[in-house]
Amino acid sequence: MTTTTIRPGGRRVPRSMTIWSMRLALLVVVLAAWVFATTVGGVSPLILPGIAAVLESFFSLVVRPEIWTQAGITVLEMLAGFAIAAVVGLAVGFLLSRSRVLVRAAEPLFAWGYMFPFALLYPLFLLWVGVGLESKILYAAVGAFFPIAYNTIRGLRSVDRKYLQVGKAYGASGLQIDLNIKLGAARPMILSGLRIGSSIVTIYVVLAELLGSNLGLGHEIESASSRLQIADSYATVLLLIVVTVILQRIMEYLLRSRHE
Amino acid sequence: MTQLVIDNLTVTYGSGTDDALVACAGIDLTIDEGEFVTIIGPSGCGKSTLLHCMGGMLQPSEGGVFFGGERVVKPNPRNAAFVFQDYSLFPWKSVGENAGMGLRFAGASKADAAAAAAQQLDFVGLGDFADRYPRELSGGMQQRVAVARALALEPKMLLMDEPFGALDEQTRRNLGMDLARILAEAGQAVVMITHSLDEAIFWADRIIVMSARPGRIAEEIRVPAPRPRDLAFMTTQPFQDIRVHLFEQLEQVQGAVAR
Repeated sequence: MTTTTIRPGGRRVPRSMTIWSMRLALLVVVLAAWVFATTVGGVSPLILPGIAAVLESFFSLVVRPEIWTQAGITVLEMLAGFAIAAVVGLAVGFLLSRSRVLVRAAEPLFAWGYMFPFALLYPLFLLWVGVGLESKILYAAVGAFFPIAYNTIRGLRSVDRKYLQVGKAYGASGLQIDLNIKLGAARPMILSGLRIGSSIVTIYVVLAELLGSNLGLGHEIESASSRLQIADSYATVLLLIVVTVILQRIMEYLLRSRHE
Repeated sequence: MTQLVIDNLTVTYGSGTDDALVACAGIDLTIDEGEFVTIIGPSGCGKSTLLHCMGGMLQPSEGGVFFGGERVVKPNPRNAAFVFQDYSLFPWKSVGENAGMGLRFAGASKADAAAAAAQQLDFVGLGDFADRYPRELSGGMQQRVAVARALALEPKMLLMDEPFGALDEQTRRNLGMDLARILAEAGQAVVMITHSLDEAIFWADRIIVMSARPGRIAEEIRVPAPRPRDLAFMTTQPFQDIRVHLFEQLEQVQGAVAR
């Protein structure tokens, strides 16, 4: 499909074709650099294995059922972490937004929690919750909680007065104002918090698996590297990228904001 | 028959403080059933304050508003429903849901609201747009939806706060003509604030001219022609005479502010 736009100069530009060919060119450049590095460049296969070796490893990897179990565990951790962060974040944001004093007290805390490098605290999570799935889920949930709660508060507090005026003029109840006006007006902001949360969850789960775990794709990467099976390690990274990108895309699709 | 009585209404913002502001002072006004009243006056003359008091959105500091003999203490959209300047449609709701929203807020069931909304959207000529979203509609169409939202309550009176303020001249005129017909058919009393001399005369049975701060009623003018009127009315001598008179009146009350 090609969309054409006419520039002021009158030249027809096939827009999406240009963009896609540029993206393709970038991919070609990266792959060419990879091939060059592993052949002429003489980079050690312990640092960067050849493309062929990685692909071979990838295809033998994806037919092994165990790897899908591990992928399933990683996805489960991401979804569970997100579900907890979403439920708690929305509830806390909603409750806090009802009180002006609480909002003023809590807002800087959430903004700060939003920015804080939680990777620093992961060793504590391991200590508290152990090396199993729970530590990944909890860790990801804590990371995603802040942007979700913060955006929920911001969204609910910045509802345009003209919408509230309609509620008042037509005699809306408190519950109706919450559900039909505030939640609707805040929805784009809340959804954006949820999208940020969903992407944080994927990052934190992978990070946590790499830093210390006995299950999941992150653990597979870590163990392949430690056995110096570098091609396997790369292949698992590739699989992890595919899985995560698909998951993020699905989340983004489900959490897109419509009509605004 | 008299529907709304405003008795010696005064609204003071921030009373008791040094910068207390008297928005309206000693206003007496009655609105009859089915009557179309326009309010015109310089900016900041308390027009909106007066309208908000009529609809129970605001409590007067002194005096009172009585609808059908009952004192107005809170908004009752089945008596008087608002149409705001900036349409105030909810962008996250479809046109159909928006048109039914007033009824939902007033306690109607979802099904009843949807049915009434569909009927009113047909009435304002937007029957095919119920599933669209406000941003897909032009400003003029959005304002029709806001009118449908108000009419869905079958209110006895419509309170319109500069309903065409945000529209361009051409849209204003077309929508105005249409709404004039629609409102004449619907038979409600209407109180409408406007900044446009033409609108104030064209629509009204009676024009209220307000003076600036504190807002008082400077003059009431009857427009002696049956409604709905067609555009040609604007070229008639009575219209022109009222227009000239209104223009001078407004200059005078405006001048009072400048001095």
